[in-house]
This record gives sequence, C-alpha cells and structure tokens, in this order.
Amino acid sequence: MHASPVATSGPLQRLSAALAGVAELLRTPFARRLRALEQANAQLEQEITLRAAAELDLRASCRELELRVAQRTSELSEANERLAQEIQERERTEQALHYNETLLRRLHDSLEEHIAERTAELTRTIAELEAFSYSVSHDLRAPLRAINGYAAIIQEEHAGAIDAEGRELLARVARNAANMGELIDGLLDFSRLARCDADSSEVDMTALAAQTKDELVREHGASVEIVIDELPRASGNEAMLRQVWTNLLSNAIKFSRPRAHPRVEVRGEAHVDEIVYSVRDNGVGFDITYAGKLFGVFSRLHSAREFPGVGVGLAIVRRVVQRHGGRVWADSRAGEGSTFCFSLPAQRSEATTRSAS
Amino acid sequence: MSENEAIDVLLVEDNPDDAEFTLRALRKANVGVRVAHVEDGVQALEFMFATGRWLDRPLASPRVVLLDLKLPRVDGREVLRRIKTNPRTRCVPVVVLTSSREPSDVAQSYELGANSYVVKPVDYAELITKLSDIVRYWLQLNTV
Repeated sequence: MHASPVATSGPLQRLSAALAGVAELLRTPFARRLRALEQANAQLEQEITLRAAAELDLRASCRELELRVAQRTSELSEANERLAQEIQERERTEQALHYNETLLRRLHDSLEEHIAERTAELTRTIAELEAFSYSVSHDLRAPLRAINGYAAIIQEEHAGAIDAEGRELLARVARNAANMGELIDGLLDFSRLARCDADSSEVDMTALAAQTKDELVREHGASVEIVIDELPRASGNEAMLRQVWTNLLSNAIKFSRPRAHPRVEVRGEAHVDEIVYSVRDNGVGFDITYAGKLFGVFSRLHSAREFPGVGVGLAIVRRVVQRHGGRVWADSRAGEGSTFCFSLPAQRSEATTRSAS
Repeated sequence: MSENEAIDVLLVEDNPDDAEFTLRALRKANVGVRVAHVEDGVQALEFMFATGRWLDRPLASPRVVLLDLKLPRVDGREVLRRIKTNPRTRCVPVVVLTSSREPSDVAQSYELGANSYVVKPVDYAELITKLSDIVRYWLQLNTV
C-alpha cells in the first residue's frame, strides 16, 4: 500500500494520509496474520497429505501382516497335520515292532523247543550208538573167540587126525578170527573217541612222550634209538594226547625196525598261533602219492604181512588232533623214512604268563 | 565134581564156549583146583550164599570167583555188588572176566570191589595164558 503524493499538503489529505496510515497499520498485522494463517494452512495441508500417505502405508503394512499371519497359520496347520501323521505312523511302526517282537519271541521259544527236542533225539541216538558199540564189543567178539579157540584146540589136541594142509588151513581160520577181533577193537577205540569227554589241562608233552617211549620200549624192547627233544607244553586232554604219542611212536618203531640203525626223533616247535610236533623215523617210508589215504580208518599203505596192524592208529591220531583244534600231515620218501607232524593251537595261558612276566 | 567137596574156583559164565575155554585154561594152569560152573547171576548168588540148589554145599567160600559181566537174570555187576557188600563174602577175590573193553565197565567193576579185570582176548593162546596167570595169582594169594 502506498500514500498518494497529492494528499501530502492539506489537513484532509493529512487525515486521509493518517487514516491511510492507520488503515495501513491496521492492514499490516492482518495481512501478516493472514499470511501466517495461510502458511499454517499450507503446513496443515502438507501434514494431512503426509498423514494420508502414512495411513496408506500403514494400511498396506497391515494387509501384508494379515497375509503373512494367514500364510503362517496355514503353514502351522500343515505342519500340525504332518506331525499328526508322523505320530500315527510312529504308532503304527511301534505296533508292528511289538507284533514282530512277539513273533520273534514265539519263534525263539519254538526254536528252543525244537533244539531241546533235537538234543533229546541226539542223546537218544548217542545212547543207541553206545548200546550198539557195547553190543559189538561184547557180542561180536564172543563168536570170534570161539572160532579161534576151537581151531586152536583142534590143532593142538587133534593134530594127528588131520593132514598138514588141514592144519595150515585151521591156522588161517584162527589167524583171521584174531584179525577180525583186532579190527573190532580198533573200530571201537576209534568210535569211543567221538563220545568221550575231553577235559583239558596243561600237558607236559616232553614227559608224556618220554613215558610213552618207556612203555613201548618195555613192550617191544630197545632195538630202536628214540631221541626226544625238549617239547613245548600243550593244552589238551592228557589221555588222548598220550594215545597220539603211542600211535605215532609205535608206528615209527614198527616201520624203522628193519633198518640197521633204526632211529626216531621227536621234536616240537612253538609258532605264533600253533605248536608243531613231529616224529621222524629213518624207516621204510611210504609213497607220498598216497599220503591222503594215510589218516583214513582201516587204510594201510603196507601189507599186513610186512607190517602188522589194522589201520586205525593214524585215524585216531587225526581225530584226537582235530578235536583239539589242530591238524595232521606227513612227509616221506619211500626207503628214506617218514616224518609225521601234528599241530595244536598255541597255549593261551602260556602267552598270558609270558606277557605278565 | 562132587557137590560135597569144597570149591576153589567159581566160574560164572553163560557162554558155553567161553566156559569150555576157561575150564581148559584152568586145567592147563595145572593148579589142581575144584571148579564149580554156574550160568547166570541167580545161580552165582545161590552158590555164594549157599542157598537153593547149593543149600548143602560146604560153607567155605570159593578161593576165587571168575565172573562174567553180561549174565542172564541177575547181571554180573549186581552179583559183584552183593558179594562185596556182604561181610561173609567180601574178602573172596573176584576176577571180572568179560568181552567188554569199555572204560566205564572197567571203572565200575573196580568201584564195586573187583580184584582184577580181564578182557577175554580173541586169541586162544593169549586167553589161556591170561587165565592161567590170573587164577594162579589169586589162588596163591588166597591160600587157606
């Protein structure tokens, strides 16, 4: 607002100027206020716009949140369902497991029953076999004794009534009966091994071999030189192992006796997991081609005329050694002697003692 | 053999052939003994305790009993047990004379009180020698 240049000279003009000034004065704060109000209004509008925008954002966030909650709820309910299914499955598995367990227990019980029945059956069979071998032992030997006896009596007391050929034939009858007696005894010795208990203890093999040697020397004379090395101790059944030494040594004596200087050597060597014992002779030996037949029952590689025997000695050796968890083998060259070996499992107690000391 | 004579050897044997051989062995042993032969356990016990058929025999016990194990009626083990548990007869030597080489029979016979256990060999000559030796041995030990 501007003052008019005309009114500057008169009172009226002055009044008018004054009034104008007053009006100007009055007008100035109003305008200011108006401007301020307009400014405030503008701010308010801006604020309102901002708030509206914020509200929009908020609404959008709210919707998003609701969406997420819905999604999560659905996920949770799915998980819940799965869990329920799993629980159901687990229950089914448990039931199946329980069923199987019952089945297994029943099977186990029936198996036990079956084993008990089978054991009883086997015990009966063993008893029958024992009765059988007892009967063989007792009853079959009696008629053989009679055949041999009467043949001998005829030869002795009625020799004049028969000619030389007749006497020779009678001698053969007697000899065969006696042979059959030995065969029966050998078979019984062999079968007895299968059913006797084998209590095991530590065995001084050097002493056992030496005792056996002494017995054989008493029986057959000291025509054969027998050398026994210091032998490793073994764990086993003493009576059975004595039988092994008896059979191996008597064989070695029998087959080396025809030599000018018969000699038998007994050795033993402890390895990590087995002890190997050997009996070596410088006797007639055997053809190694037939080594596989050596340890069979009633199998012989020499004629009974050359070397008497029934052919169970080595079969007994093999059975005893196998019962002890060992093995048997032999090596020979015909005419140069033989070596018979057997192994026994290394003694556990000895190993323990060694490691402890 | 008269039943009024005192008996030296009682032979308990059911097999006639074995009895024949044993009697021959005793004759060969030339010990000049009087032998009574019975064929089962019942007769053996009647003889030992002078009952039944043997009621009137002289009361002296035989100097040795040769006893088979497998016998009709009462078996040899029972005869042995009865002889060895009776104070009147337990000092009479009993030689078990059998075909059985079963270790259990040997052990059981000695447990019951047998004085010797002889396995009858198939070979006749060996049988004769064994029997002569064993009978002579027990007769000498048990001389009245």
